[in-house]
Amino acid sequence: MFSLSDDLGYVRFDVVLSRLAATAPTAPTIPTAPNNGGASSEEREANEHNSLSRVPAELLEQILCRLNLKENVRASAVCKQWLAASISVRVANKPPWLMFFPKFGDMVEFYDPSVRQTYSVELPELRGSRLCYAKDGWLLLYKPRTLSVFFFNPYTRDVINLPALELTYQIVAFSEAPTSPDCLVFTVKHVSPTLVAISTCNPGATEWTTANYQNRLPFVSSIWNKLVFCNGLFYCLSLTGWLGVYDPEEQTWLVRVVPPPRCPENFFVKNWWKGKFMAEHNGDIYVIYTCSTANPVIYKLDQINKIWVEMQTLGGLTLFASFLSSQARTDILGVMRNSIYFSKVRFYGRRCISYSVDHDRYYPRKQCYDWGEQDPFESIWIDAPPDLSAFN
Amino acid sequence: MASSSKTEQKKMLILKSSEEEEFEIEESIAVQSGTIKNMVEDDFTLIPLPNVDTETLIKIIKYMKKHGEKTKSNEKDIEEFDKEFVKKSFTELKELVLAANYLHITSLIDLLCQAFADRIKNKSVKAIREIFGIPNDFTPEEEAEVYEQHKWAHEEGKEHIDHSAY
Repeated sequence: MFSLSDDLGYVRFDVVLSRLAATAPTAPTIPTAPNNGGASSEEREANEHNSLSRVPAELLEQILCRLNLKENVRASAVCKQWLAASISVRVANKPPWLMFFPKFGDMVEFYDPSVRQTYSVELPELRGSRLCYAKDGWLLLYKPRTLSVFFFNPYTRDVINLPALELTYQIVAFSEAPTSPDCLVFTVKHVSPTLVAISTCNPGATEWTTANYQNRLPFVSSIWNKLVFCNGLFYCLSLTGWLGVYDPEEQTWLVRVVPPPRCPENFFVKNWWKGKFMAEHNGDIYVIYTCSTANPVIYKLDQINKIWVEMQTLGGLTLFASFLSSQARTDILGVMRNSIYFSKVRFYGRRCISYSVDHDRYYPRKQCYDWGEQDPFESIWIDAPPDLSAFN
Repeated sequence: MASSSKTEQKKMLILKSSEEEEFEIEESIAVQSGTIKNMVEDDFTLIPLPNVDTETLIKIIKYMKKHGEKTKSNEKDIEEFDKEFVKKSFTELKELVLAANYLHITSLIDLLCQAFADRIKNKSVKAIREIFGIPNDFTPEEEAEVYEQHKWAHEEGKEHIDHSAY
C-alpha cells in the first residue's frame, strides 16, 4: 500500500503538500501517484532536505485558535510559521483602567496599567458627587446634597438617573450595566444588629423598593463592607468577615454560615478592618485581606464546602483592587498575571503598585503598604474604553 | 451515466483514492465535502482523489456516512462516534486533517482541529516539533527572544508539561 510515512512513522508532509499544490480542487485530474505505490528513493531523498513539512497556515490557525493564551504563547516557539499563526489568532484581555476622582475641580485622570499611560478629561457632570461602585464600564455615583443617584459612563458621558435615595452612610452596588434590562441596584442599611433595610431599584423605576430583613446571625452593615454580584446574588462581606447574601428573585436575605477567613494574628492592627477587597470572576468570589505588617492574603469562597480557601496561586488570574469595587481578569499577557494591582500609582516611574502572588512581594518593594489608610473614594478600577476618542 | 427517472434509486458516486481503489457512495452523503460537491455540479460521477490514500478515504467515508444520517434523535450517538473517531495516533490524525481540509468537510475539520488542540496543549515545544516533523528554523538569538518575551508561559510552574511525542 502506498505509504505517506517514512521509516520513523512521521507523515511526509512535504510529499502530501506537493501533491496538494499540484491539484486544483475544482477540476478532476488524472492521478499522479507513483505506479508501485511507494515513494521512489530519489523522491524521498529529495524530500528529506525539503523543509516544507508544514501544515498549511489556515489549518494551523484553526488548531491554534482553540488554545488558551498560555498555550498559544508556548506554541509560538515551535517555528516561524507557528509564531506568525499564533500571533494572528491570539486573544489577550485588556486590563481595566484606574480612574482618579478629582478632589478639587473637574479634571479626572485615567491610568492604563498595560502601557503606564495617563489620560485626563474634564467631567463637570461629576461635580459634587461621590463614587459608589463601578462595573461593566459604568460608574454609580451619589450626590449627598440632592440625594441624587445616577449611572455615568465616563467615556461616552452618558447619564442614567435613578430615583433619589439617602445613601450617605451606606454601600451600594449594581448587578450589570444599566443599559441591560436586568440591571438591579442594591443597597443595604444597618438598622440594628438583627435587622437590615434593603433597597433595590432598576433603571426606569420611579422609586426604590425597601424592605426590612432579619439577620439570624449578627451582621453589621457598615460603609466598610464589600459588595459583589455573583451568580444572580448580591454578596455582602461585613467588617468581621461574615457574608450576607441577598437573592433578588426570592427576595430573601441570609447571613451565610461560612466562618470568616482565618487571618494571621498580626492582621489585627490599625485599619485591619478597612484593608479588605472583594472581587468576582466567573462565579467565584475572591477576598483580599491586607495589613500594614504582612503580605496580602487571598481567599476564594468554596461554595460547596462553605469555607474560605486561602489561595497560594491565582492560576493566571489578575485582581484589580480598589476600595469600593474590584475587578478580575484572566488572560492578560505577561507580567500582570497572578498579581493584585492596587489602586495607587507611583508617579515616579508611573508604576501601579502591585503584589505578585508568585513571588510573594510587592512591586515596588516596600516595608509596608497600609491600604486601610487610603481614601476610599479617590480612585476606582473601571473597564478600559474601546478607543481613545474620549480623550481628544 | 446514472439516471433515476423511473426508480427511487439514489444517485451514486465513485470516489477513487490515490492508490486507485474505488468506493461507491451516495451522492447525498458525499456532498458533505465541498470539493466533491463542486465536482458533482460539474457533472462528474467518478471523483479521483489523488491526495487521499485508501486508509484515510475509508475513514472519511465512514465519517460522512455517520454524519449523513444525522437526525434530531441521534445527536448523542453521533457525539459518541466523534469522540471515538478522534482516538487515533497523531500520524492518522494528520493524514485525516489534511484530507478533510482538501475535501472541505467543515465539521470534520473542526472536529480534528479541536482534537489536535486538546492533544498538544500540554506538550513541550520540542514534543510538538517531533509530532509534526517540524525543524526549528529560529536562529539561537531569535529563539532566545521568543522565550524571553513570554517567559511566564514557558515556566513549568504548577502545570505538568508533557515531553512525549505521542
